[in-house]
Amino acid sequence: MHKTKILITTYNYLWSKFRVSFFLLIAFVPFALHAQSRMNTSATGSYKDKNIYEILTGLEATYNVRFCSDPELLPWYKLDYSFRNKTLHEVLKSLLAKHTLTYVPFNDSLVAVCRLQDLNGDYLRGLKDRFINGTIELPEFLKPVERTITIGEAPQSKTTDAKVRISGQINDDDTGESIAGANIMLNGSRVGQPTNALGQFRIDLPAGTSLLTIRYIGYRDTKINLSAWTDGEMEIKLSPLPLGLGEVLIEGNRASNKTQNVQTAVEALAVSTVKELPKLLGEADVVRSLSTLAGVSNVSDGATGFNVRGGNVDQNLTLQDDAPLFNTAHVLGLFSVYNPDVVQSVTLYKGHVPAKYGGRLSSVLDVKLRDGDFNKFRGNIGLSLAAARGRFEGPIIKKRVSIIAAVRRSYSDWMLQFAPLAEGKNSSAWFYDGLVKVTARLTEKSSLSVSAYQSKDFFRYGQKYGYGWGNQIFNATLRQPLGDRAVSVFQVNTGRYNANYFEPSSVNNFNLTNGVDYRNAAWRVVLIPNARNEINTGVQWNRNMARPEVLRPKQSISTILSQDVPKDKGEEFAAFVDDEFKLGTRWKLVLGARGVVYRHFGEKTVRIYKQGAPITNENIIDSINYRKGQTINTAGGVEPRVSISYKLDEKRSLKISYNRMRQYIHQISNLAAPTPVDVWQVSNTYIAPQTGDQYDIGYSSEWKDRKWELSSDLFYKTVQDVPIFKNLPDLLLNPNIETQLLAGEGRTYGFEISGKKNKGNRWTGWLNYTYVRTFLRTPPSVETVNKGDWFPSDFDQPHQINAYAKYAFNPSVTVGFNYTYRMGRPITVPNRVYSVGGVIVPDYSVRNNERIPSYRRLDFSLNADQNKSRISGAKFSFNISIYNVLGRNNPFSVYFEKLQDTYPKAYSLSVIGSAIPSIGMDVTF
Amino acid sequence: MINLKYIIALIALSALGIGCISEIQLDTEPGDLTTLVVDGDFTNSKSEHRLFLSRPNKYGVSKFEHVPNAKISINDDAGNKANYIETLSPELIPYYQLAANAMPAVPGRSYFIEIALEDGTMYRSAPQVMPIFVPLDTVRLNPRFVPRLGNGGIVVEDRLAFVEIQTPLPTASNPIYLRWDANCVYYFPELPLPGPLPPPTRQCYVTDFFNGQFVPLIELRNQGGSTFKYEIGNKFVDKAFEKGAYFNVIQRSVTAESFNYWKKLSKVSNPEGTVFDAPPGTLLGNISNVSNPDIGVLGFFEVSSVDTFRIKAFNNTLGPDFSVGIHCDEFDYYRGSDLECFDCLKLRNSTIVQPHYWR
Repeated sequence: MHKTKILITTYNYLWSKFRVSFFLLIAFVPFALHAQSRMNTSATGSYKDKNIYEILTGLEATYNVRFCSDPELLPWYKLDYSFRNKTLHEVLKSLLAKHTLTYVPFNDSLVAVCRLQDLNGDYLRGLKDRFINGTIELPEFLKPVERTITIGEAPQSKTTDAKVRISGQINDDDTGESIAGANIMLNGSRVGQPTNALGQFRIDLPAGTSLLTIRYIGYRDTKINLSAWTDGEMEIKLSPLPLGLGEVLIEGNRASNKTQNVQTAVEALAVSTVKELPKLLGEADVVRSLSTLAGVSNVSDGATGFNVRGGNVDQNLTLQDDAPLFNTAHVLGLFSVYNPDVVQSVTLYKGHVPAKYGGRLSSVLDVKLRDGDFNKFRGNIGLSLAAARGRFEGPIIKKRVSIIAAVRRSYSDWMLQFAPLAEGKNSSAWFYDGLVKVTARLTEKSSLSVSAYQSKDFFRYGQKYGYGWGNQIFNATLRQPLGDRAVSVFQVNTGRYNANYFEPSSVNNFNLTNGVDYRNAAWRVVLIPNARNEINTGVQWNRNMARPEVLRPKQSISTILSQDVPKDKGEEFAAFVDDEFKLGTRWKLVLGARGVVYRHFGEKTVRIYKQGAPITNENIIDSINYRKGQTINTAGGVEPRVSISYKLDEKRSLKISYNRMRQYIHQISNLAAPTPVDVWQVSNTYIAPQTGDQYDIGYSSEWKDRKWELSSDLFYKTVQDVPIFKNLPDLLLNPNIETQLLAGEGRTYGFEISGKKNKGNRWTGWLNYTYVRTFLRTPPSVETVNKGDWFPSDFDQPHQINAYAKYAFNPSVTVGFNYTYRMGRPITVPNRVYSVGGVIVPDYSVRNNERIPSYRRLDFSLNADQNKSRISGAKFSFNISIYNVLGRNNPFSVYFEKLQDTYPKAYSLSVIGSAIPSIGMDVTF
Repeated sequence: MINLKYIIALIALSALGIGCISEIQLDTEPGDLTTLVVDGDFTNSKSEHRLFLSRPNKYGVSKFEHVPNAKISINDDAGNKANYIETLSPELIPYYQLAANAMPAVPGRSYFIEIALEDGTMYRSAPQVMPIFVPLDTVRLNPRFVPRLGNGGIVVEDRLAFVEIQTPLPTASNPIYLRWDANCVYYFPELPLPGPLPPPTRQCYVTDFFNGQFVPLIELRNQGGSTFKYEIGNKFVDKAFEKGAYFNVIQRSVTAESFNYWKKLSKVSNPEGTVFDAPPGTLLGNISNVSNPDIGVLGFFEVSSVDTFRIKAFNNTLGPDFSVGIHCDEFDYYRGSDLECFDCLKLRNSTIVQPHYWR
């Protein structure tokens, strides 16, 4: 039965492909007939985290058969594979078919395994000859590195209960950099101990010989035959796999293991996931991908930035290699400025925020960029419907100095030719961003990296109006060891965010510019005094100088007069310390604090307002001039940061955290979705720093070696001194902007539940649900809005669901479905109308008294990625996406417009109101 | 208020017609409908001064309840005082009237009103100084084609007549704040109804406002001595031009407070879509509740100097590309369409009372 089936299958395939000669059939049929008995042998087996070559090797023992293959041509990726009471034929069929492999029995005990495209007589004969002659070699990268280390001398008389303590340091063999999060497993155990932030570990062993396996994603396994008779130390260097794994797998990040790490509500987003998620116009996007996480949302398609647990966009500290970005949007928010080709890791802190971060209330998005390759030149080129990308990296001096350079440029102008309006056709929209980063290994453990980044956006709508904005960052980072147990990181950043809005051709033509200049420096030390403690400490200085608002006529005929509105400057001096330590085997704690002194300084003329009266222009009674650099006022305080984790067992943990955060710079926006030219205002005499206190209780559990994860967080947050604008404020070009704002208070509460399937041969994905409420009010005072009552914030979207499911035909070919649901955000709509001067005036007497319709979106993507199957040569990846498959008109907002003398009518506006198919491709070399 | 231009920018980016705008119905809980709304002015005009007292209404309703039996007076800084009387307009709209010569309008002098409602509640406006007179020199019409996105994403070109004013700016005041009230009044004669004994036909005079009641206003600094040109609004080229229409422009020289009020009102009621748009909120004017200052008052009492200019336009005034066809024919009756052709009072803002300036 099975013999016949094999023959028919093989014959049909070969015949249909016209790729094999008749000789092949004749030559191997007799062997196939002989193979019947082995093929019908039934057996049971299970393999975890093995590549196909390793599974075939395992099957040889089970079925008493030899497999003959070219290991270099087999997929290298690892997978889980189990079978029960299956014949060898069934096992091979299910194992090989989905990886575009097949098998051909040479005889009863020898079976060839090869790629479908190699299936021809010449190849199979050659393979058999090489096998018989013993010339097939296992590629180096598939072999574990084996080392023997002896510490101390074997005693003459062996004592069975003696223990030894071994300390170790794990480094990258190429770069010398320490590897945090590598697993050290003892004697074949699957549960290991991770290395700390400095790549160090300490392990207690019985004296004698032990087998240690060190494993970290992207590196060859290293097996240590350790003979340890006394306490001692050892250094282990892991060899990187000969693949660009950094591009596709970042899952070894410590933050991704919610059960093991001590912090509440920290999310690590793998860059591979960013690239696999359905894309808009073919562009993978970090910020859009964030909105698939629990507790993260945005206003709608095309909105700038993102909102965490109902917080404002400006309450997120968005970092790129520790330098802040004040606007992460490209093309008015359709894309973000992070180029996924150079991103190494994406970590979002929503709950407990380490003390080294400060200055924002809601979250910290820490995006780290890659270093260039120290050994060889490589890169990639990508094309999508929106932009072209290129990345190039390699050694300037091999193993000493590397460079990585990446650039993106949109060609979105061509799309505007399809715009229905003449203005649209005459419009212009483009962006670019570019990065150059040079990293030098000064010694084996110290490095200096210098990077420069620039992005620029331009949008002009016909000849009517337009926006432009851009980011510039210069960064230098010096990393040095301080003895064996500490590393110091000294960093300086300088940058600028500038924006402009212009109307080029009307009688009121003008150009309005503003932005922020910043400088910051930080010195951090990571100290590991012992195996139970990890201390992060340091000092930081951060200066933000809001750039003047400058209004200029663009042409001489303009009726607009030049206007310059100077803005405030402020700086923070911070010292911080975090100590992450273990108490026993179950408790982990992070006790930390950040102390900040904030200084608002001149040059500035500060208005004095009548005491006890509303802060309005009418109540200015005096002014004081401060000279350049002179301190005007100070603020600040201590920000405790505490997180405690209790391990219920190896797979479940409970956590609780408390954070205090202060924010000294605020984006003053009159829209729920900020525009590029919204004013950045530092805290001053009248605008106090925002202070937020967040409490978080978390639960995490995992099953089946992290195949399944479940985590949940319950949170409550209060915010003091949040700027709330008065009714109908003038926010732009206002030298006394404090007259337009009131100090409000906010409260947020809710919970997040996240279920995740991390592993599986076919299906993986996650399902998140968030319930969050966010309210604001102005406390009783001489002036209030909304009568001092609580009102929902612009980002109060109580119910949020994100689901992502990925189906892998094989590891190279996957399809994904992403679904997002968010309850509509609040908006202020008129609740009465009145008439003045013949004008019917809508009156908005209650803030955020309505909600826009809910947001629902389903996306689809198909990814084919040779990076996951090919070892060498150019590798292609393709992506086909359909964004908003259901073509739903998800509203961005609701606005009101009057036609003739009727009352204002409400209109719902959707930026993307139909399904958007797209295609993108990448070539990696 | 949403920033319309930012949104249009996003729509334009979607470029392929993937964005969309659709009207939605809101079922919002009405706010306080007992708040007093004051709407009036005091000018140098030779005609009467009108003041309206009303209450707000639910969103979507454009009729407003008159507040009767109030006692209203105007006062100046010289101690003069004059009282309003309650009366009805020819269209039977109730209002409070101050006779043209009841109080002299003198630039530089300040004026305020006091209102006592029937229930005893007192209201008072903040004093305003009468601004300098700024004469209106010329008004002309500039015809242009303007494309817009119609239903189904089809581009439609509207024919619009832009109303341009020219005014010499005095040097005696800086800055100068100008606001304009403008409308178009056109002649619309009815057709006789078919049949043996049709009723006599009427001639209607229909008032159209510009740009959906957009409030044109501007702040001019350091431009005294120059001639200022400005397009204050536009009007669709339609049936109004068939039989002739008057374009009436009233130029008001207003105070800074009035300018700021109308600027905000304009943005609230008709967003320009610029980054300068005010976010939504309640717009309070210069009236306060003396009896209970915590209770807000809507509306504004304006003190201004005015000048009026009007031009008449016909079907051929704007050139051949902007001529309009015959709007009504007798077959409309049988087609069941355009009933306004046989009953001109069905047109919005129509009256059979001929304006005093009509020739």
